[in-house]
Amino acid sequence: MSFINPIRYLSQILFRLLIWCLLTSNFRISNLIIGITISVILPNVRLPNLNLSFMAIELLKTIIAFPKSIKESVDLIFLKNKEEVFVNQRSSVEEDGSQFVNFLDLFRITLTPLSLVTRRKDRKSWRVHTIRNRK
Amino acid sequence: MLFLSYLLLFIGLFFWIWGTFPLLIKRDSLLYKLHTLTVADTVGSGLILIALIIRDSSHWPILLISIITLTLWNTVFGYLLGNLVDN
Repeated sequence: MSFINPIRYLSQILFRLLIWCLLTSNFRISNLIIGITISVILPNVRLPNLNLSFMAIELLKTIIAFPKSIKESVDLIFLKNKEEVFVNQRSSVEEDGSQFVNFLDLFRITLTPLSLVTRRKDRKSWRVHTIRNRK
Repeated sequence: MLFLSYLLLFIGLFFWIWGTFPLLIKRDSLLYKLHTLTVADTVGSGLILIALIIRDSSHWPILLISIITLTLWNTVFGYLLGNLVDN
């Protein structure tokens, strides 16, 4: 059996327990014991090339994207003379970096109404469809 | 609190209607429709669910799960459709 980073293992267990508690919405001891048992029994997730502190920053950025998406919706509604263009946006990790961070980056760009990732342009950037004001 | 809930509910409903209306317009491109659907589905539904959390806070866990799954699936399918359109 390969060596598992204890911090990573603990955060994985806590994440599963959080989802379990949200789904069952029940904080009694018996339910918590069932939740912990299930979190331990489920197989370990393999997330290669993942740096935990880097991932925390990316997660924070993703949470900030939620209020930003409300602001961009209002921007989109009041946009006059709109123009649709494809731009290349730098991704936060390269294509062969952590899959999870890549997913978070894609999620963050696509979540906001003014930009939408269509595919990877090259190793370092996304091809993003955006709407902006015509100059 | 009830006023805030109504406010969010009506903003969400406005986003829904504004976002789905371009589906009926032929000259809009498919990617533009995806952008407006993001406004409707992700942001509009999110605001409506937040309004429901304010109104009935005893059911917050299930409403929070709905917000998370809605944003996740909308975004993933938005990317999927965008990818297909671009090809």
